[in-house]
Amino acid sequence: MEATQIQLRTRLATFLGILTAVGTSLLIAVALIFLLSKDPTRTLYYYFVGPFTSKFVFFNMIESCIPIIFSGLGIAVAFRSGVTNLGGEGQIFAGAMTAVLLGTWFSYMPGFIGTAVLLLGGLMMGALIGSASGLLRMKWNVSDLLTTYLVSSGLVHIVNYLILGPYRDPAKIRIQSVSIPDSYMLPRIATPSYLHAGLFGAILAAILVHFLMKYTHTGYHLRVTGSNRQFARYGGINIRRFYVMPLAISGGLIGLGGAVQIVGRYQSCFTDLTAGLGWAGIGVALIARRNPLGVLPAALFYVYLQSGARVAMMNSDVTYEIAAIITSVIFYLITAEVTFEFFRRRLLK
Amino acid sequence: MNELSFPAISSTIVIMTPFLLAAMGGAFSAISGVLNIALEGLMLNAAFFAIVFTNLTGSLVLGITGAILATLLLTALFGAVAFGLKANIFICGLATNFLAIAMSIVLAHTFYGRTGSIQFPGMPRLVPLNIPIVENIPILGDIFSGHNAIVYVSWVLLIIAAIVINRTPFGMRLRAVGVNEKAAKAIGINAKRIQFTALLISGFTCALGGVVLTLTLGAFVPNVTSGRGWIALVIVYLGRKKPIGILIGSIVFGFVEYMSNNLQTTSDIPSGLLLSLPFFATVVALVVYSVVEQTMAKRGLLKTK
Repeated sequence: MEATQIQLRTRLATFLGILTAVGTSLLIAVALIFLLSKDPTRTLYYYFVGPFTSKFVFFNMIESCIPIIFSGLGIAVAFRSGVTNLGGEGQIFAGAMTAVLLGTWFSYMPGFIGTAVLLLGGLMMGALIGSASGLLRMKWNVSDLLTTYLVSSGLVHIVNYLILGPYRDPAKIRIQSVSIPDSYMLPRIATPSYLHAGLFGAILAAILVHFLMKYTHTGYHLRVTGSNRQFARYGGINIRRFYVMPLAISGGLIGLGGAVQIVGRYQSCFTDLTAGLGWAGIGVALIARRNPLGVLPAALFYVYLQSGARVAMMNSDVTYEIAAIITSVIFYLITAEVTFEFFRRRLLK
Repeated sequence: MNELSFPAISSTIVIMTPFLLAAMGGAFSAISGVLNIALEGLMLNAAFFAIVFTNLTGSLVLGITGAILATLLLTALFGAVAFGLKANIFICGLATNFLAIAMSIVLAHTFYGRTGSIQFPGMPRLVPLNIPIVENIPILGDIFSGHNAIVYVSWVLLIIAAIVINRTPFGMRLRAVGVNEKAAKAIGINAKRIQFTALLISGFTCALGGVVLTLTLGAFVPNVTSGRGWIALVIVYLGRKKPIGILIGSIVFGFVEYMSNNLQTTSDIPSGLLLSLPFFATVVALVVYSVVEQTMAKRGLLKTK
């Protein structure tokens, strides 16, 4: 077999492996609906077809991709570089809150400069949180898996405190923070849905991350250290730097995603803003096999499962969380070597 | 309880119990070389099913048994996917955490038609047991009396764990697999089976840890575990996977949480900030531990692990 053909077939095997995981999760979705719903055909219809029945629902589904693309990219970079970032929830939340604070403190900037400042703020905040864990790992060899999660959980409580306490907007009935000026908001691109120009930002981010990882020196070093730290050290790479940098990039992307939620969608922060977006990033990065461009379709699939569940909940008798059961099935199967091996053996005899 | 009581001591002991139980199971897994990050989800699963089964049967014993069985089942699923399908054990652990949360909500919706907190008036609860004579001794009374049955069970289990790990053939194999899986295989130990068993043990202890959380309260609230499983994971690491280390770690973190709870009612510090305290304290503990370890290693005071 030629080298190119082997490469092609390996890719096909990987793709079939992903398809198996995704397909199984869909089968389980069907089984669950039959088990839990009194009117399964109706529920099935709303779950699988529902997201496509109206423009409003469809474009909102696309909108909910945006933060998940950012968190998926962040996690993909971390995984590729051999570090773990379990702090997505806190990074999104802190990034969003930073944008809100900057927007309320500096409310007289020209519109687009204001937007840029807020986004940069979210990015910097995320990068700062990520690099803190990276530094702890570099200096004292403290597990990044543990500190990213712990720091993030602590931060969630602090941001909650800011929303409920000093930065709460007393004029609103719903508990939420003060709002940023209208002029800082990104334009909506498919009214009446919530879809906003942040979508282009997310796609651009995926392309940039792809370029960074594949075609730059830094990306090469990140990938080499990620695949084998010892080898990278012998190759003359200063591996100590590559705890901080990947976590800074990872946290930065995720924090940016949080800021995009504010300038694109919500205008203010509230306690449920993250709602698993950080964890979703891990799922998406895994479905995409840590490939930045793959994050785009993976995110689309992920939100399809969720909006299907949302439509089904509104029109039938199941609860939204069946989506969470289905995504956990994907988590279980997406790294199952047995299926990938099976296809590789079949295709590469 | 007498006048000379120390609520700090007795509260810390109750609060530390879920930590102690989860960390104990986590240690078995860690010794066998598997990082079980599903402690959180396994506890949550048991916390939920404890309420379901106790309400269903009206009996605490049956409720606890049901919770343990349900959690062992979830652990078995976790292990089957990780070992049987050769999936990444760490991602499977995350999956288990998500599945536990999702399942509790979906089942609550199916069984009771609601998804918030679940409470049944008149359902039996775990009650504090006072031990005669001891309860009247200052300090000792706070330590040894006035806790629920599971607290005492956790102490017995800790002793059993210490014996099993250090003095039995199983414990020997457990450690061998953890030190060098390939070498263990070479001398005929079924490494995967040992790791699977260790995983089931952690499922069992986490189940008891989860049961304490809801059956003392008499209610299930979403996210009732609130990061305890993760902190337990840190305790496993800081306690060097040793029963005595885990006991000390649990006492420390139990006390931190007690302080955090206590300050919420007695001080002006906003509760949101206090809730973040255990997490940041844990990070600080990890750093301090690591710094101390490195300095000692540099001075040659530490035997190599």
